[in-house]
Amino acid sequence: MTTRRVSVAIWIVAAIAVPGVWLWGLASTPLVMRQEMRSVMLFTRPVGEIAGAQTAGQSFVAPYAGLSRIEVLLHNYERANRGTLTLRLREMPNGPDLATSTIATDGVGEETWGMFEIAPRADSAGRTYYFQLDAQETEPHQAVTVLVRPAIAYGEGTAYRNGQPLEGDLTFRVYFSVDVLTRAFVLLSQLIEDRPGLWGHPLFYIAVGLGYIILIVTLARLSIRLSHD
Amino acid sequence: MKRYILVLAALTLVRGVLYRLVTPPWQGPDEPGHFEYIGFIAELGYVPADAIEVVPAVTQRVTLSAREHWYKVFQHGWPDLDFALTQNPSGLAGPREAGYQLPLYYQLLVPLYQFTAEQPVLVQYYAFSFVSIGLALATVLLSVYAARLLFPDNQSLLIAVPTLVAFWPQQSFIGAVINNDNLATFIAAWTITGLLYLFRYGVRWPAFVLIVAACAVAPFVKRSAAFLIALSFIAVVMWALWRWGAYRGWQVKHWHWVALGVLVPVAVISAPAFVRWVAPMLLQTPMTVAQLIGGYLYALAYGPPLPAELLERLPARLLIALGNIWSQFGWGRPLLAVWNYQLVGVLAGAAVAGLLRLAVCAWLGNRPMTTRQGLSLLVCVTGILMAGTQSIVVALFLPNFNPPGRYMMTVLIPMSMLLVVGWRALIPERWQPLLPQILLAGLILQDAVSLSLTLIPYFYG
Repeated sequence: MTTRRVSVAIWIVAAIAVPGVWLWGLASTPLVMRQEMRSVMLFTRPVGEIAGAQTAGQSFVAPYAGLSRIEVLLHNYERANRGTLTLRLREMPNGPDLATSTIATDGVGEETWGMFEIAPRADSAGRTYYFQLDAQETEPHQAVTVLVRPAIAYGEGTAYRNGQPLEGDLTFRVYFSVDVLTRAFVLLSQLIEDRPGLWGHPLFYIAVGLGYIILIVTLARLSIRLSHD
Repeated sequence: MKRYILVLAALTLVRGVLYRLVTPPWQGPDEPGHFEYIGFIAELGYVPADAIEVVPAVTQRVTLSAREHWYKVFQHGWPDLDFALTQNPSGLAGPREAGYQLPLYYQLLVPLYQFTAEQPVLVQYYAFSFVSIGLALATVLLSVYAARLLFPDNQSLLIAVPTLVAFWPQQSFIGAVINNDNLATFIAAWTITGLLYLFRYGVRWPAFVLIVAACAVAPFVKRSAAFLIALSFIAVVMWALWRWGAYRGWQVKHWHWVALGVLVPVAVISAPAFVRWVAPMLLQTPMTVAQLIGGYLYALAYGPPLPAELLERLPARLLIALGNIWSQFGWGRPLLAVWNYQLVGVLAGAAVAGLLRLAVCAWLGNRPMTTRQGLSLLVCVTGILMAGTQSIVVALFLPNFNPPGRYMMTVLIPMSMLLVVGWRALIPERWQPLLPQILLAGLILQDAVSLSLTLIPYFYG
């Protein structure tokens, strides 16, 4: 085998692997509603046990299509609990269930994100939703709770306790399943958000990206040429 | 060759901007504190003597901007910024650098702060970031010259060394954010290049100016650069011994004796700590080699025996510290996948094996390189050991503190040189010209992994 053939093989592998990694990274980067993250975990309190008829809920506006997962920060009262916790997705607190998801609560610690997966909702962009957490089969003193942030205003939704509005918001995250192209556009909008001047212009990011690709390819070609000189 | 260097330089600038674009404002390590320190000096007109001497307006600007730009998303451990802003004077979003860090980096940026004083805080912030990118570019260019001083006739090494310096993930990240490590890295690159110049051309004014100026500046840059003065001293002594020996007609083909001349005094100085603290512990507790070395270094640094709890965690912490040298982004939270560190560990091990092969060849009299090159590489090894001892080992023993890999960027050029030389020593001669290509392809892939699988998911996922 000649060095030239090995050289060709190296760059064929690189030409497949590098774009592959970029696409994989983009596709696997979750699209999350970020508003809720403007808080710190330190300033939360338990909303109270979720067992029997006790419920907790939160309304929110989905900014993107493909709503597929809701995560809620749970707390175990520093004890071992048994039972399940069900999330019901609705359009309003008293509306019918659009989707439900149940998790076991025995693995919940002092601060555990409870993950509730639902079938992706293609039409979720711009719609207002409400999710309710309940545990009808769980006994008191064996139930977990959700953490609420009394001082942080989410602005586009309200926390609920037993169907009544509550001060503050639950600590939650909402995930969306989207295709790679949509994810790329959303990433670009995330990158330029609140940046000054040139740094807030998408063309600048596209130019830097293109410059990066051109220079990488040029450098690779030069390294091949220099190796065979 | 010139075109390759030009393109590499352009790529260094573009990659710097790319990493800056991907990293949200204030997410570089201690960036609020670094920015604030520059502001304090600019507003006060002098370097504040301690952290109490603050300019509330500067702190408030930084904290307000940090709050606006998702700072809290990634900083659960810091006090709530809404609360910080209600304090009088306002609290800072992160640790304060004023009154703690050495001032030169901040003083150099004061004119830029004043020039952009009327601009929004983020415009100033990005202007400072461009200075970091410029320093990273200067470091790459110095590595080109350093490689040329050491391997003037070896094209594959001339290409490979600056390529590794330019793409090193930790340097790529820190070289795009506001941090005094960037000046320390540049000054260290400058010093190492000066020392290599000394070994190549002897005492000529460029070497003299480079070394003396770097030693004069290093004490004002950052504590992690302090070792440069001692390294310069040791290197000059090594060079003088070598030249004096040559003048006296010695055949210094066994240049390792010079190494022994350095290592023996170090062993003599550190022996009491070993006898007093480590040896008794060794008799009582079964220890791994890493624990033994760690206990020994701890005894040197602190005196009393290493607490058993720390001793137990030492091997794991040592691995983390070594991994951090390759990459530790942000405030230490976004790290590469474990497989990435394992792969780099294997490759580093291979380079060490290659270097050992060269050392054995030299020992047996089959000289794989000139005495000058051997001594220059010995200076590189000494520099890495000194920087590692000063920056990493001491931090290794601090509970709940992961030694930041960015401190080791002061020896980025020596590390890159030794890795490349080590790898080359393992490759059959016929395939050696492929080394730069394999390295470049691997580093481009590493770049994709760093950006798309680590930084972007962490900051935007």
